[in-house]
Amino acid sequence: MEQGPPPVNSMSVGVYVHLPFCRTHCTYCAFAISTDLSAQDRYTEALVREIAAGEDARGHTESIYFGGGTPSRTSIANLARVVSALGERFEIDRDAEFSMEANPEDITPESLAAWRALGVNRLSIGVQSFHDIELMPLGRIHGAKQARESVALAVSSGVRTNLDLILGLPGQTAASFGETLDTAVSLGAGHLSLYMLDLEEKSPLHVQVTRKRVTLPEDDLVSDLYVGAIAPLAAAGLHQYEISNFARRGEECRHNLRYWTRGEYHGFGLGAHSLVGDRRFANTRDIHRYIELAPDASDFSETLGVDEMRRESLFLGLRQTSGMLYRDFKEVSGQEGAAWIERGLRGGWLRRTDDRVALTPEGFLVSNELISQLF
Amino acid sequence: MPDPKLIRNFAIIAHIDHGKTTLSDRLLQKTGAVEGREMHEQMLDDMDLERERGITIKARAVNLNYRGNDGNDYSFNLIDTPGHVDFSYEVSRSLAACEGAILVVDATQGVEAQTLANGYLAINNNLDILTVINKVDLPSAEPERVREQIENVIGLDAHDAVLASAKAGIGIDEILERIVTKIPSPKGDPDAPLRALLFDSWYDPYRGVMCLLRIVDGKLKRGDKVKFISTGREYEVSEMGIFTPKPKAIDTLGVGEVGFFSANIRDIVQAKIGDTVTTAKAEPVPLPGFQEVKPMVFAGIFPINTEDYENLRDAVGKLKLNDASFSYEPESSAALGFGYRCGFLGLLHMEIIQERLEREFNLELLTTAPGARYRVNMTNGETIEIESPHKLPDLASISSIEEPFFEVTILTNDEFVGPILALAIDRRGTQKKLEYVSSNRVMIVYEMPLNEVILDFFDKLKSISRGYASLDYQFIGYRQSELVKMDVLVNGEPLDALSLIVHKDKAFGRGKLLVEKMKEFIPRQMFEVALQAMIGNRVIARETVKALRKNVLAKCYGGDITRKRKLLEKQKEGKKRMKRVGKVEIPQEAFLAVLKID
Repeated sequence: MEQGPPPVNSMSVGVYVHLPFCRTHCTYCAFAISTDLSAQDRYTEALVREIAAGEDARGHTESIYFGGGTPSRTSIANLARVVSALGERFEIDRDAEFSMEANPEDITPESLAAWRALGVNRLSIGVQSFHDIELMPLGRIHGAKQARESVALAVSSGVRTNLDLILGLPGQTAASFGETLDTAVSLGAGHLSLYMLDLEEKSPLHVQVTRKRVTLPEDDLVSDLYVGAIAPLAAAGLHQYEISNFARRGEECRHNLRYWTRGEYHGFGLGAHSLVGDRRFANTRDIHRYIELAPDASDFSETLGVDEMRRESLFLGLRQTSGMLYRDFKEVSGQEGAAWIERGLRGGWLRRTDDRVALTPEGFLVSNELISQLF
Repeated sequence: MPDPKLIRNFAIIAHIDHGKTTLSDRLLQKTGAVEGREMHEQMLDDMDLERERGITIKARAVNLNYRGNDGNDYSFNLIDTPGHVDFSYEVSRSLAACEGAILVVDATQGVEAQTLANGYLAINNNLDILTVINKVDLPSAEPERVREQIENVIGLDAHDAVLASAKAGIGIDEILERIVTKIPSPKGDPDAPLRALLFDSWYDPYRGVMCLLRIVDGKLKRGDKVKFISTGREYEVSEMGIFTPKPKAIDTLGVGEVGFFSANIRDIVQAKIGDTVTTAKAEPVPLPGFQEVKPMVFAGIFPINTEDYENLRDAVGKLKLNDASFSYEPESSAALGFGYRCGFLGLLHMEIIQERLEREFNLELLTTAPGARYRVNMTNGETIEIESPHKLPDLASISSIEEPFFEVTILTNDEFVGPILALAIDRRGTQKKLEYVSSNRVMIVYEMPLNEVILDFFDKLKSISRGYASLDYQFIGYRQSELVKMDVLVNGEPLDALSLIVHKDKAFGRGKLLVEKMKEFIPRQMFEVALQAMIGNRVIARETVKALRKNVLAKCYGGDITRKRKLLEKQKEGKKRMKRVGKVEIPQEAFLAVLKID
């Protein structure tokens, strides 16, 4: 069993910045977003206020993540103001990973150059599918052709490139999904996030599905496609390292690894979450309130007790293909752990080596069920 | 003590929602029994549940003072009656305490099934009937057509029916005056030994059993030693009074009067409704009593949290104190743990009991599918009665099974007759009568096994008639039927709580629907789950719940870890509310599937 990517540096912190602006609201999305681009200057001011207000000493930072929303919708000038505010507050490592999410329609040689100049060295592109017919019900603006061109542009510019792909889209078949994966590989992306569609209640697509206007592929098909994708991706050099994430060795997303290893991170902007010490907190998801209240825009905070930390370690640890050290697992799984491992091995949901336990692909598929048994 | 000549004892009878309670309230208000400011709607219904459902469950008696147009001061006793078929026995015992009845018929709805049933009850009790056509102020009122229906269907002379609107206060004065002229005063011998009809009793935690009675002969004084003729038990009357509607202490009750007493009676069984109360030494001829009511519908009631069993035991015990028609005995189920097999008068009674248990005692309950009481004739000549499917003896020892049959009377508009007949036939009904009672109103009478009536027959009837059908039913006797027990197995383990007694010809269809329905409710588990319906050793239907393939949080980035953790915690919590049969986790809804299989 592989040991997984290098451990997250516990002496440093991660930084997340939420840039909520989108051209349209995608039908499956439940994130805090806004389609009112006219608010972006005021929003950026609030963001800069919040970043500057931090009291802690200049934390050493090895990962920055600009998420959204669609950060590629935010103007270069505003992005620059945010980057400069971050530079004032944090000691950013020369080799820090700096990811930014972008939509295909925003990627041009000019925008790529501008983002790179700001320090962005990893682009996460919301491709979702390379088939127009599957993109349509999602409310995406780009088509498959544009997606291919944008990815090619990004890859050739030299930034590390991730493609977000969705499995389980309305109308998706084994053949169309296979083609999407092949396209992604052949375009040379070093990282894939392959998400099984998980509809948030009340998202427009969910409503369509419950009203039977749109049908989703059966769970069994989605499961087969998921399991079936793992070996060919590995053969193409993209190794699975988490339930939904595949990368060339060394190109794993350090920022996301930080979430899964409970490393410290600071979130700024609308609905952004932070973990500092034993405290998790988050900002409001209401953009008007955020603009008005930042830097005091927090509307959620919890101090983690032993039990919460135990549960977090379990479900975050077991998301990764490297799983957990057996001795850590034993410590957090309690009395039921041994019988659980026994059942899991028998059912084919679990793998075990001398010092680690990890879920198999079939185990990942039913991981909610399995892991909640240990809660 | 009022002169019997000035007493009028009457009940108000009506189909549900025809305005009986509103009229009672109006009479109370008009006679000054209730001040305007104390008046809240449905004055006579003192249980929350009654008020919410708009149904009167327990009979109550209220004394009203009325000055007639002749200048005399009359003493009225208004005896309230329930409006639902499940409680018709309470109607008949209330009527036994009266000389007259006010039959209320909704001018927009006309004669309905309980108008008919209660009207007949009153006629059979030799009561004088004052007919009131209510809601005449509504635009859709058709008093003339309703008058015609009353004459054609019930056979009552309705030419002098009062046209009223209890809600709008129309016709109330006329009704009060007509009570004086139309309803006879009580006849009785004031000098004879006491004879009083006990027509209601209930348990009061402070006073013990309260008895509501109507004096027929003689008189009753506080401090008297009274005797219940059926048991011979004697008690000293400690408190006595009348309801005005507030309880008001009184020293003596004379011929024709209605009042209550308590006598330190601890057990409600001692105060049997229909019994004759007399004084300690007297030996008068008892009054005609009532048939004892027996529960007809049976279902298992189980606490959702097994640790609530003790609380449930307390609760059913307490409820029984006030409701002699409810029965219970312990039952245990492999799937549901410990609970009670309870007997009810009907489905509404069942619902009310369940709701009271949940509300008044704060319990969460699971009620299994209702069934009838079956009579099993054994090969050895013995006959046993069973109220629970799993008590059915081994097939080899049974020579035949009988089930209770009911005469079901339905009144509806002619456009719905087709589908209603189809429904009745599907429910193993035999037609007894079908006739037009007015130009578009039809009365349909069927004989039907109770077993088929309790399986959502009402809901079906309501939906196919779009609410324009009313129904009454009466027990007519036991009849032999080809009945079998159907069991449900989950991965080979019997789910005893779902066993069902069904007619042999319907077993296949019902078994198939049942396992199909259960399949919808049982979530996919980590392994395949087989659902089987069986008769004896024969599988008659099978469904499979495939093994769970996918339950995963694919997206876990953006740093909101708390939400994901809570989602998994919720999943764990959800499991706790499920019942485990073998390794299979079954949500409560699956147990209710059996109720929804048509």
